[in-house]
Amino acid sequence: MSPKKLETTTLTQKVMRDYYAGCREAKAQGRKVAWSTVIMPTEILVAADVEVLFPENHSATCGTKGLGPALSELAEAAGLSQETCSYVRCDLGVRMGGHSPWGGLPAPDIVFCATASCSTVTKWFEDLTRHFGCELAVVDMPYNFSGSITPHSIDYIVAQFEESIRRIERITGRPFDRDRFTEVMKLSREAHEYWRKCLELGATKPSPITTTDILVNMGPIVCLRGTQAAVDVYRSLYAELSERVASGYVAAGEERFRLFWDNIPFWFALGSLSRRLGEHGAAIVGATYLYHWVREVDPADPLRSMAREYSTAVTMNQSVAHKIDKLCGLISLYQADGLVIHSNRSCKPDALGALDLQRAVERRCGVPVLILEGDHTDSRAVSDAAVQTRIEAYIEALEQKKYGHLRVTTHEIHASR
Amino acid sequence: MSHFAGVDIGSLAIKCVIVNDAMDIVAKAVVPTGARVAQAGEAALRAALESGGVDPVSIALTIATGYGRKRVAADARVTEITCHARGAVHLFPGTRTVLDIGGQDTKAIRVGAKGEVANFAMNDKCAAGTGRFLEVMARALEVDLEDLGPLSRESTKPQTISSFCTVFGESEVVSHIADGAEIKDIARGLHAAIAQRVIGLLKRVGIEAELTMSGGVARNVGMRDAIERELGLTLNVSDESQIIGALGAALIARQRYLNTGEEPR
Amino acid sequence: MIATATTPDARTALLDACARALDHPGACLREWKQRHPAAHVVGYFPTYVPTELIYACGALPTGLWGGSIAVSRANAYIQQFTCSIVRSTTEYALHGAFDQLDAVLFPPICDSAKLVASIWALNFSERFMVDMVTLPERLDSDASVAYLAAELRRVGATLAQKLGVTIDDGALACAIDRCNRLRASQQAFCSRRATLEATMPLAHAAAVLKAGTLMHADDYLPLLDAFLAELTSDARSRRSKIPVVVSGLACQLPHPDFLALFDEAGFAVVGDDLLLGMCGGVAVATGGDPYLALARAFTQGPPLATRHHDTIHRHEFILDQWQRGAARGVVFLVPKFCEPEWFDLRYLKAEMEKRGIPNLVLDFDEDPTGFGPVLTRLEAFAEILM
Ligand code: SF4
Ligand code: SF4
Repeated sequence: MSPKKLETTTLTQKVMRDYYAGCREAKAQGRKVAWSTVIMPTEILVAADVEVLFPENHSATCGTKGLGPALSELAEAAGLSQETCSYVRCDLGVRMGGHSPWGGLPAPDIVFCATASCSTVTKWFEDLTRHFGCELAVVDMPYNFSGSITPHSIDYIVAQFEESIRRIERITGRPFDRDRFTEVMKLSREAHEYWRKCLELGATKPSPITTTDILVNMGPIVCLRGTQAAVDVYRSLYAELSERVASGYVAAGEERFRLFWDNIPFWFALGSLSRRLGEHGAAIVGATYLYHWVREVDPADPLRSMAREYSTAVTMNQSVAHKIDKLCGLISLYQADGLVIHSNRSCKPDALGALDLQRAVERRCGVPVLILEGDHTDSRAVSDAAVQTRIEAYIEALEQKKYGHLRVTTHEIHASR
Repeated sequence: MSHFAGVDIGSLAIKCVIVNDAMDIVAKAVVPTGARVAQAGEAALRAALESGGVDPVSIALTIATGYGRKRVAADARVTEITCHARGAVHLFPGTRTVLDIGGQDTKAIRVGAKGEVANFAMNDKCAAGTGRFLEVMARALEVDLEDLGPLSRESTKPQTISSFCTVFGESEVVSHIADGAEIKDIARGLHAAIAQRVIGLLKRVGIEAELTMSGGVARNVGMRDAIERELGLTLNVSDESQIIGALGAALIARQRYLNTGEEPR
Repeated sequence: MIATATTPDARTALLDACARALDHPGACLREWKQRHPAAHVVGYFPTYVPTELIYACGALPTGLWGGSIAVSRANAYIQQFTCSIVRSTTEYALHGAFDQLDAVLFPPICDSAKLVASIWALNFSERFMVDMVTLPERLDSDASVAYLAAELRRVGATLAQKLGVTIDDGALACAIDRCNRLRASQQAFCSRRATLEATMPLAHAAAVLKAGTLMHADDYLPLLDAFLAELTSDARSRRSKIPVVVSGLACQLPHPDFLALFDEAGFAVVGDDLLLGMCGGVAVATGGDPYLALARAFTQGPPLATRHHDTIHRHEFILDQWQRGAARGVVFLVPKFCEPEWFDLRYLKAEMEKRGIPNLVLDFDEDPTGFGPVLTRLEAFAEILM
């Protein structure tokens, strides 16, 4: 059965095209443009009519086009070590004149950086202010070592939100409109709700949607929280998925093995990896990555609720113990047969702890865990041959675990004759 | 007439050059380093003296360079970075950038008009971007190291080797072979991959024409092609590329002697 | 005048004690515990945790430095694309080297340190308590001070509870005073670099500072103060050497043999920002709320690669050292896989180059071998500066 095209994708693509065009236009008209980390309550900026662009998102897009190595080389020649996160190298590569699918991002008037995902972004955004000579607002979101956020952390984050609002007022020359903000927060909550419900449906066995298809539709929840467009996209996606589930549509073929993915994808090999897994009847049905955007924001108490949600939703800002609990819960929700952990050398905050995660998941969920060494955008750090071998060995292990024997395909019998 | 000797102690070979007052090369020799470095160093000097018929007593000053520079007898020691710069500028006075791809390490050097070093960068511990990478790959391809360069010139369908790690690179080569790619096309890809790495290093010091290549790998035409293609520059490569370090050492010996007026030994 | 700047006694006593503390940390700890049977020992990961809180609990604060141990067991916990200090400390922990400790405190100085803290909590909590002093990443906001004061209160209470003691105001004031004196003496030591250079190679000076994080202040301070009291300026200082400033990260120092190469290549290190986070801080104000005072002092500390400040920048600190020491070049020491430092390096180099200041970058890990290429680089740099 050939996979059915997801209708919502067309809408998402249009929404994203309009968004980038809108940002360019805003810049051309002299309106304020901000760059921000993706983990940041940009609803504040949306409410202040500041256009927001996301260099992480831009780097991921460069990654999907296979531009990681070329851009990294430009960044390395400009003095940035190969040992740094390749998202930063992609961004710097573009700033150094490298090719970008979007022709680069319009220069920012201010950059916002929240530290919940990592401390790397602080260094990255410090470099952005030096490059563009613009202001930098760091919103420090302390690491939740104990697994739960402390009251003083929340106070600290809220104080910095207030500080950011004052900055925005200064930059735009307009008082911050709290009523408008409440409206924006309502839209944000709605989009987040739909997003969460889409993921819930996505967890259905057999899967109504491939993880690649969800990734393709992630743009609005990352970039357009607090807008009607994001609500529209996820309402549409939810409707489409509901219909698929009702009609028993299966997205990923035979699903002999349902796999869960941890850490950022191999952006440059999304298609080839799922094809390769598909050859063995395996499909990635869900990913931790998608859950970084599952949050509950409260328009009645926007700043405090965002302080809590934005600093806890991402696994990078949580202890490894917490991440293990979260993963075990997701694996059982998805009825996954296995977990694939991308040991992403670029993203230490999400990759470290992988070995404990592997042990804990194998013990608690009883599913085999595969660790793939790699990088999310710099394919030079990934050995295709090693990935191939590991996947094959892993599938053999799954095969024996689930079906008690190795499946020998006719193709292989022919080959060995 | 006084003579000046430069001895470059590399990990594989020891190079010795003798120059006269007028900076002409009057003798040179290359001997394998072996396990006994001090003896090999003396042997290299002796071989050079003999080949040029130079009287040992006329050697006013000897300077040792290269990784083993402290392990041989000499009047002074200067790093290979300074020596390569000096030697390259002597052979090609327009030189502003020197690239030395060695067996173990690769150096990018930016030089001033008098051959003085303005800035330099060396590769880190990893072997990618050094001659070692080529050696490993030649073995994987089962061809002689010397043939790799000429072979790559015949390529019609260049393959890409994208990994920056030697181990990964090797497995890429192996899978290209398995996919039936031709050796010459893989060889072309290998040279391009190293070129990428060394250009990264060069950019760290800033590339300014003319660019002179020194060291043994300079003799590899495939490597030269790849770098020239990437940079759109013609490289200076001398037949003496292997002895540039030793030449630089000899020239520095001469300069020091003439400045300080040290007595001949 | 050619004379040693101090009597050999004070110098030898200091260096011997420091060498012992560094070479045999386990044995030193055991001896200390024998002398103080009721007291606890609290380890901390570099760069900064408020040792005042540990002293206030009547415990010995001791820095957890990695070292040149071959990492094997730790590979089952931490991937190899991390800096060597997080791997080597974990290896030591897995060998039971820290089992004498009652608690370990981590600062969240970088992504690797945050995660390693978390991995330790998961795996070693039965051996010792693991907690994090969740320092603010920003040093430039009033909110950071209030936040950190509350966080220090939390850490103090948790630690005291674990150790079965209470932190009273008197004990905390006393601890603050002790640490202020320690900082002042270490800073006096650092500010006399030029004089020190004549009598003490960089590797030894680094050992003295590092030992200050291992020994009890009451044992260490008298030795350091005696040395300082006898240290007179020396005309011989660095006449034939090339003055340079060395810049590097606070939480890792290269192997002593690596540091010794600076002398071998003919450099005099006239300024540095090594170990800044540990001893470069400002004095903590006395009187008033001690937690607020500690928090304020931290945010007023020197610029660090791992903390953000909008207006105080690291290159200014280096340039200041450069000017004061009349240095001719700057050498950057960068730990392999240390992202914060690699990021800063790009900008620091640009700042140096803007001013025509020659600079050299050396990367390092705790591998105690393979220094040949390092010496070559240092010597080539010396040849440029000569
Ligand atoms: S380190 Fe990880 S979380 Fe941080 S910017 Fe890079 S990919 Fe994102
Ligand atoms: S050396 Fe760098 S990466 Fe390692 S713990 Fe220290 S700051 Fe973090």
